[in-house]
Amino acid sequence: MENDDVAALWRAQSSEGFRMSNEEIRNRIETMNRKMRRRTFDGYLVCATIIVFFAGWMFVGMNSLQLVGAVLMIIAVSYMAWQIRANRFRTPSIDVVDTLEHLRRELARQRDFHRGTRFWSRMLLLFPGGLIFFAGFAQAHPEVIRIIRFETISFVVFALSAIPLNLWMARRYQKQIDALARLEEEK
Amino acid sequence: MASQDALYEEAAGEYGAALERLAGSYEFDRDKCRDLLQDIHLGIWRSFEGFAGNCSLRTWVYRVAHNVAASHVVRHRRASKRPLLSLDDVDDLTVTADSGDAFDRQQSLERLREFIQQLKPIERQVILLYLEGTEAAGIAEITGISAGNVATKIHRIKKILAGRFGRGDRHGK
Repeated sequence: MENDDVAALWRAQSSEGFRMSNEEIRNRIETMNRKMRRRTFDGYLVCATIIVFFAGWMFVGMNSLQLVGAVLMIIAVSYMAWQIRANRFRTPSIDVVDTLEHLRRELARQRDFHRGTRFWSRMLLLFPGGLIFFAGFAQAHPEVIRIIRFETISFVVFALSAIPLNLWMARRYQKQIDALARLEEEK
Repeated sequence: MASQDALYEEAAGEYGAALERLAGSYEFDRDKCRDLLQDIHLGIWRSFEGFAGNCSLRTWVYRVAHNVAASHVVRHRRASKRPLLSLDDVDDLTVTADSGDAFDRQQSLERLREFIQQLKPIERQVILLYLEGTEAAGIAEITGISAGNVATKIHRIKKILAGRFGRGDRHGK
């Protein structure tokens, strides 16, 4: 079999004649929008639950450390909710640039999720608030110090391990971007 | 300029079969393949909102289709542990069972799809466009790789295909 035959064999594959009617396209777009609204709603719900949890503690009674931690957490979660709101109607863009450029943008977007402002703002907003809240809780309830210590250590380990893991992911994406850049340099 | 719907109708009619082959080479699973194909069609329809005729309909359709498929690969890569290969990483494996008269077309197609699925997105696109009969200049325009680089990759593809599926590469010069 020669290369032309391989190409001919490839093109001779049976086709289902798939195409979408205008109605199907509009229905599919509506489904996508519905899913996006659902995801946004779920995000709000998670944020609201966390806010209610920390706000609720304020009414139960808190020391000043707990109060500072709870307020920081509420600010952090509110900021995340605002980010969700800012992105709520952003439909995925359709790039009609060449594939190298499209892939570079796609990989850069994924990379930036794992490093830079987006990553560190998530970390810096959630980490100190949680830590201060735990410290305040330990101060207020020394009788359960062991449990709080365990929770605090778990929280710290989880948060700290997220840093190298995310930076490693970012490096992986960067390597792929560099490989694309090398292809571009060969232009 | 034709309407978005009319352009889509024309594109689906002209390139529908090629788009099915494209989706099939990215996804073996029937349902996932169908979803990807729908995403590609939807992407093409949406893209026609901005179509100003600066390039041919073929280039436009292939760009959008390959970009949707490339995004699909990037987003679903985490689920798969197998690393994607470049053409230089692929062996020129000779498979003698396929070189005789008892050649099994379906089996060869399956193997060709498997081979394509191993490749990195950009190389996958080059081979798919090559198999669809696109000239090197057209592949360069769609992918953004230089024509010279495309020619090198096509040469490599021909060598691999000849090694895996044939008796030799008479046209690979």
